[in-house]
Formats: sequence, structure tokens, C-alpha cells
Amino acid sequence: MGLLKITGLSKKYGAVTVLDGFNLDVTECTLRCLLGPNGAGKTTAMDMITGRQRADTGSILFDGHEIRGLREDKIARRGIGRKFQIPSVIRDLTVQENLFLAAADEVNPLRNMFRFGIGRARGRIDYVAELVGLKTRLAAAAGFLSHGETQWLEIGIVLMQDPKLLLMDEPAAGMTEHEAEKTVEIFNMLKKTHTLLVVEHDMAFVRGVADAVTVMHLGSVLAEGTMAEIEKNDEVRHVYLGTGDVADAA
Amino acid sequence: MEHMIFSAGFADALLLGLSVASTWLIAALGLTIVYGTIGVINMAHGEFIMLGAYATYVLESKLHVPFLLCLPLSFLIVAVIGLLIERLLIRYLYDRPLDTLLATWGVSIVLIQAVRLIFGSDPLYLSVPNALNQNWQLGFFSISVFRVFILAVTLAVSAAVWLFMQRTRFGMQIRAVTQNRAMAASFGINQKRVYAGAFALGSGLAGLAGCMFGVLNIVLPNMGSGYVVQAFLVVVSGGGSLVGSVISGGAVGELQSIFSYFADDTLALCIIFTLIVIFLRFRPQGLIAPSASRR
Amino acid sequence: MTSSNLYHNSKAQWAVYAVFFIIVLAVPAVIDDSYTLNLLATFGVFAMLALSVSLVWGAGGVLTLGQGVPFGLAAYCMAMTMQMQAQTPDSPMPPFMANNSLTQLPLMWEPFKSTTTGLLIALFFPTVLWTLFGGLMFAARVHGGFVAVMTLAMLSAIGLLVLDIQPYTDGANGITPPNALLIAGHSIDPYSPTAYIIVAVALVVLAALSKALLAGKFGLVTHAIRTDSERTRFLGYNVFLYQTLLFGIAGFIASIAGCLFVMLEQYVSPAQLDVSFSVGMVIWTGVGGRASLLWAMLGALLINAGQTVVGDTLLNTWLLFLGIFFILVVRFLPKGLAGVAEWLVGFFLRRRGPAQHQAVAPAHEGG
Repeated sequence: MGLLKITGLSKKYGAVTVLDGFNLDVTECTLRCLLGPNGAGKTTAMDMITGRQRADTGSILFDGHEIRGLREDKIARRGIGRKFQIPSVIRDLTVQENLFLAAADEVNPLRNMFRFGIGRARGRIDYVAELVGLKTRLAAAAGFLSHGETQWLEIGIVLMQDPKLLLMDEPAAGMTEHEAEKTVEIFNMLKKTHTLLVVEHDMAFVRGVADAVTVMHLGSVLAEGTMAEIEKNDEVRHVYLGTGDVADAA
Repeated sequence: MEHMIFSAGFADALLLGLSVASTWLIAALGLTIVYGTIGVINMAHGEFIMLGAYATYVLESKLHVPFLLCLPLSFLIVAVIGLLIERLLIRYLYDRPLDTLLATWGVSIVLIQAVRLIFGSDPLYLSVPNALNQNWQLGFFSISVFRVFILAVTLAVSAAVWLFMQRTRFGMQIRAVTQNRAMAASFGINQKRVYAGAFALGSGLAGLAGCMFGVLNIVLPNMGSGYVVQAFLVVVSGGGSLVGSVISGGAVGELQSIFSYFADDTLALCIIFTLIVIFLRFRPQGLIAPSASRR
Repeated sequence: MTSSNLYHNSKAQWAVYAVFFIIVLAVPAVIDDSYTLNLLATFGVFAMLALSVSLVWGAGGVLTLGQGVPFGLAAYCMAMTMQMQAQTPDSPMPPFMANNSLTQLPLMWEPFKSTTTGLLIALFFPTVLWTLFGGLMFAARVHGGFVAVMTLAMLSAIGLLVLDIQPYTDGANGITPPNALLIAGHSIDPYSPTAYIIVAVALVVLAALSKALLAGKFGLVTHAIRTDSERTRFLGYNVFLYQTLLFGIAGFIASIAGCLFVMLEQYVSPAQLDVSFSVGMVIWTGVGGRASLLWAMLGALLINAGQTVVGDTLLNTWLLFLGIFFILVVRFLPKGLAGVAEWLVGFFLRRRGPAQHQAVAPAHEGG
């Protein structure tokens, strides 16, 4: 039984079907990559897991509990963190403030009225900042960070939440080769203690981190398996570019 | 007998409701264009209505223009004023919607005070041809010809705006920009011109409404402030589309007339406002939202 | 926190606030003209309103055009309380009711026979109502101009209602309690230093608490919600609760302002529920600087002082220029006068010392 178990998830917008009986089972402490051409429903699936969109039918079990239909913040509190495709750090807050914000150990607004200063989140902020290489940039406004740094901060924000399940939408997008390598390193370390679900187009990156791969097509699962198995799969090749190679097409 | 009087009175209220609805709609028509298509929350809309009334006053009493001709002329005059304001101010604020709201509120203060300094604070009156100044008697019902006139003009103008949006090139450009700015730009549509044109059109429609409201009520510098809230509620609950505004304007007018029949005018308006707030709680997108990606 | 501009330094900010507070509290020591004192106290009430608008709009990012609702309702409750203090068993009913052909005190006036109950209602009924209304909106996740229009509609509805139930509110005339507020046997003369000090202390306490509120984690979350409410939800914060709470706190501040207003003026009318008055609060706040609590209050003080100096004869010209000025502020100075202050502080410090050209962040709340 996996940490996240999705069965028969479907969603229609008018006549357009974006998800069609989508199934997914993510085992604890593994990293699964979600692949597929544009419009396959990867981001929609992420949206539904995190409560951003509502599915029409189907079930999303997290840790054995149904989370479909819960509000975004409740799902986040259950232990699902998400990094967005488009960086969404709060630009006029500092790196430190962004990280402190993500340290949502206390979300009650009444209690947060009486919390001043960083307090017990200090240690964790330093640890995460060190991990994503932003230790020297804590006082900088997030809006002044480079593209790569912003991606790191995004990842740092998700790490601050310390979720059981991390959803990463294109974490390596726009990163230099060196930065991407470092991300691979961090992800491989993370999956010893956490469960990750990653959407990524960079095949080298996927090869470097994925324990298992799910290929989506037209809103449902086309193939599942290890990266090696997927790369041999004819159907996947067909979907990706007639006869082309997975790596080239992505 | 009592029953008959009640139902006659009630039918009268329903009929009057049509007239009330037409005033709500004509007040909201210009705002539907401005808010519904280009997303500007124009708080000076009521003052454009007021300007229409004052324009009519000047045309009638100083230049002796007949009333029927004042209708298109007040449209033109206020459209030009609207265009000026768009060029001088609004166009710099398209990416700051809340600031547009504030800036247009500043505009409304300036317009009210300017008119007050020029024309004074005393009420002015507009005159209409005698033919419009009568009452029709139909069995139990008695209705003022001018209210029927407003209803007719409102229907005609709404139809004209609809045709304009559907059939003319400019109307199609407005709709294209509403639905997808980037796409419209890539088709070579001049977005600036479209926005300016739509704002002028919306302002002109407010001027036209003012021409008639000036007859219905008295002409005062602050006569517009009541209309802006009403017009907004019609547009927002309608969803920002023309058809939506027609439906919500109709519904609100009828409801107000019915509530007035049972209570009084002020309380009716109060109930209407409350109902709209509750309605919007459950349907924030309004009745018929245009298929826009703006929100 | 390091910052190139002292304006963003939180200690420096508190120091400036402290100076402001001392000046506000020290006024009666300098001014003994009772008329001026009463006028300044009224400005203090307006500053309180600007403070509440700045919390919701500047910090919360939600433009409210209906702040007059909690203010006006509280003012009416306060006026009713003070009116009932003047009633005796011989004349149990305010005089205007008889003119509106009422024969006995209406039920809604009964609780105001007791000053304590009346004050509690004045403070909490508008606050609760406004919080519920805010909750209704925020649950629907409406934002931006939408809230502005909804609050405006609510304000209009309540204004109309108060006008309409003339036998209970005396309609357009409003309520004019004959005597000053009587609390525990003490009469609080609106023109006395005591009345001024009550307002000044309330203003100072509320401003300090508001500033502290924004300086803590609550303020940080509020900032995040203002910038990107969706992102904040995914971090696990219940955006609805934060927004509603902030809206309610601002409503409470406006309610206190409403009570104090009637204490000072011995008068309330539908003008306090008028749209132009609520928009006025937004204008004071916008001109001063929406993002800065202090500058919002200063905006209220400056504009109202200006209006008093200009006087009634030139009121229309004054309003014309105020409108033009406001347009210019929105167009060129979105941060209001606070933006000018921020620039000036930065400019002079840079001239005095070598510039730190490193990209450094402003503190998360304005000055």
C-alpha cells in the first residue's frame, strides 16, 4: 500500500476531458516521475492532489485517508508540499522571511498574532538554507534572486514544510547543468526519508533520480515502470514523436 | 372587489417594474462595456450620467436644441469627455485595477465639484416635447409616456450595442481583446485603440442615460452618485456580459417594483442590495460571465 | 535585519511611532482652547478610521469602501445609549419618537436603557456584523474590486435602512443626545481635556497594537496573502481565517471610532453612513500611504486639518483640488506621501554615507 493512491480520477471541462480514469500509486520513500507530452494532464493531476482543482469522480487516498475535496490548506497540513512550475516566491519578502513563512508549524491566526521573531524555526531555516545553497542570501529580497536561485528557494520552501509527500513541478527547469546535478543529489538524499512525485521534462534529470516512472497520455496512464523499461516501450515512443526517442522528444 | 384591486395594483407594479428595469439597465449599459469588456471599475460612471444631464440642459436652454436631438448629442459629448479621461489617466492604470477604481473616484469628485462651480448647486430642469409629457390610460393602468419612451430607447440601444458588438469589426475587436489579450495582439489588433474606443462608447452610453434621467428626476451635481452603485450591482450580478446585464437589470427592476408595492421604495432598494450581496456570495462570477480569461 | 534605507529599519520605525504617540498625547499640555481640542480629538477619530482602512487595504490588500458600516452603526448605538441616559421615567421616550407617532419605546431601544449594555452593543454588534459580512465574502474567495463593490453595496443598503426606519432613528435628522456621555457618574464634556485624552489614548493603543500585529508572524502571513493568496494556501494557512480576522479587527477599530465620534460630537446622522464619507477614509489613507499605518493616520490628520483651515466658504474649491490631488497621487505616487518620505530618508542617508548597492530587502511591513 503506497503513501498516495489515486484511483479512477476523472475531470471534464465541458466537452474536454483532461483526466480520464487516472490511477497512480506512489510507494513511501521513493521518487516517482510523471512524464507525458503537454496536455497529458500532469499538472491537472498535481492540482487535484493539492486541492487546487476538484475532480469529478475518483478517489485520492493519502496515508490511507480520502483527501479528495479537502481545502488546499488542509491538504497541505496533512503533509503534502508543492513546488510550482512558475516560481511563486513572495518577491518583496527576504529569503529568510519566505522560508519562515513556509515553516507553517503554527497556522492558527490568533496564536500567530503573538509570535514575533523567528524563534524555534531558526535551526531549520539555517539547515534548509544551507542545503539549497542560499545561506549567504538570507537577507536578500526574493525578487532580486537569479532564476536558478529562485528555483532553489522554491525547493527550500517546500522543504521547510517538511511534508511527507513532495510534489515538484519541473524543479530543474531553467537550471544550469551544475545546478541540476545538485538538485539530483538533494532529491536522492530526500527520498531516503520522504516520498516525492516529480514532473520533469529533462530526461537526464529523470534518469538520475527516478525509482519509478509513470507516463501519462490524454489524461490517463499509458505506461508504468522503471526508466529503463519505459525507454524500451514502443507505445511511449509512438506517443512522444511517432518513432522518436523519449529523450529527444522531451 | 378587494381582490381585484389588489391584482390590478400588483399588475400595475409589474408594469412599472418594466419601466424601473429599463432605468437600471440603461444606467448599467455603459458600465457593462467598460467593466465587462475592458475590466475598468469606473467609479465616475455616475458622474458621466450627470454630465449627460447637464449637457442636455445646456443644449436645450442655451442652444435651443430639441430634446430628441439631445439624446445623440449628449452621447457624443460625454463620449468625447470619456475619451479624454481615458487618454489622460485611465490608460496608465490598466495593469492596476484597484488604482483605476481610486483614480476614477478622484475623477468623479473633480467632475462633481467642477459642475458645481460652473452651474451652482441648485436643481435644474429639462423639458421634453408635450407628446412625451402625458399619461396613457389603459383601463386600470396609467403610465407616463416618458417612461414608455425610456423603455423603448433602452431596448433599442441595447439591441444596437449588441449588434455593434457582434457585427462590426470594432465590436469583434473588443470581444477578441476581452477574451485573450495576447492572442488579439498577435492578430494585429491595436489594443490601445480598442480600450480607448470601448471606454468612450461606455461613457457615451452613460451620457445618453443622463439625458433621460435628467428628465425623470431633477438635475443636480451629485445626481450620479446613486447610480454608480446600482449600475455596478447590475453589471456584476449579470456577470459582465451584455445579455447578463439585460437579465439582471430586468430582474432587479421587477423585484424592486414588487418590493415597493409591499413595502416602500427605500426599503425595497435596501432589500435588493442585500439580496444581490447574498447572490454574489454564491455566484461571484455573476449570471452569465463572458468566456474571458481576464479573471 | 539589514537594509540600505533606515526607513525600513524596524527599530527606527518604532522610534518614529513613539515620537508621534508622544506628540498626540502631549497636545492638551500645549493647547487649552476647548474648541480646538475637540476638533483635534475628532481628527484623532478620523485617524483611527484611516488606521483601520490601512490595515485592511494596505496590509491585507483588500480595498474596503464600506468602513463606514461599523463606524456608523457603532455611532448610532452610542447615540442611542447617550439619548437614553437623558430619558427619565416621566419621559421614557426620546422626543422625536412622539413626532413619528410612536406611543412607547420600541423594542430595539430597550437594551440601551443600560449604559453598560449600550456600550457593549455599540462596540461588538457592528464588529460581529462586519466580521460575518467579511467572512461571507472571503469564503467565496472574492477579491480586488469585487470586495470594494460588495462593501459599497452593503454600506448603501444599511444607509438606506437607517433613513427608512424614521420612527426608530429619526431618519435624515439623525440623533442628537441632549447631554454629554455619562460614565460611572462622571460626565465627559466633549470639549474637555479628558475627552481628548480618551481619544488620544485609544488612538495610541490601537495604533501600537496594529503595528505589533503586522510585525509578527500574523503580519508576515498577511503580507503573503496580499501578494499571492493561492501560494499561501498551499503552505497550509487558512487564508479565509486570516482575511476575516483582519477585516474584523479593522471593523472593531472603526466601531471604537464610531463610539468616540458621538462622544465628541453628541450627534449622529446618515451622513456617517454616506458613501462619500467612507470613500473619504480611503482617500485619507491613500494620500498618506496605504502601506504605512502611521502615514495613513497622518493623511487623515493633514487632509482634515486642511479642510478646516480652508473653511466652509471655499469647501467646493477645496474638494475640487483634493480630487485632482488624489488623482495625481494614484497616478504618480501609489505609495502616497509615505513614498516621498521613504525616498527622502534614503536620499539623505545615501548622501551622508557610502551607498550599499547590494540588493537588500525592505522589511516586510512599511513604515
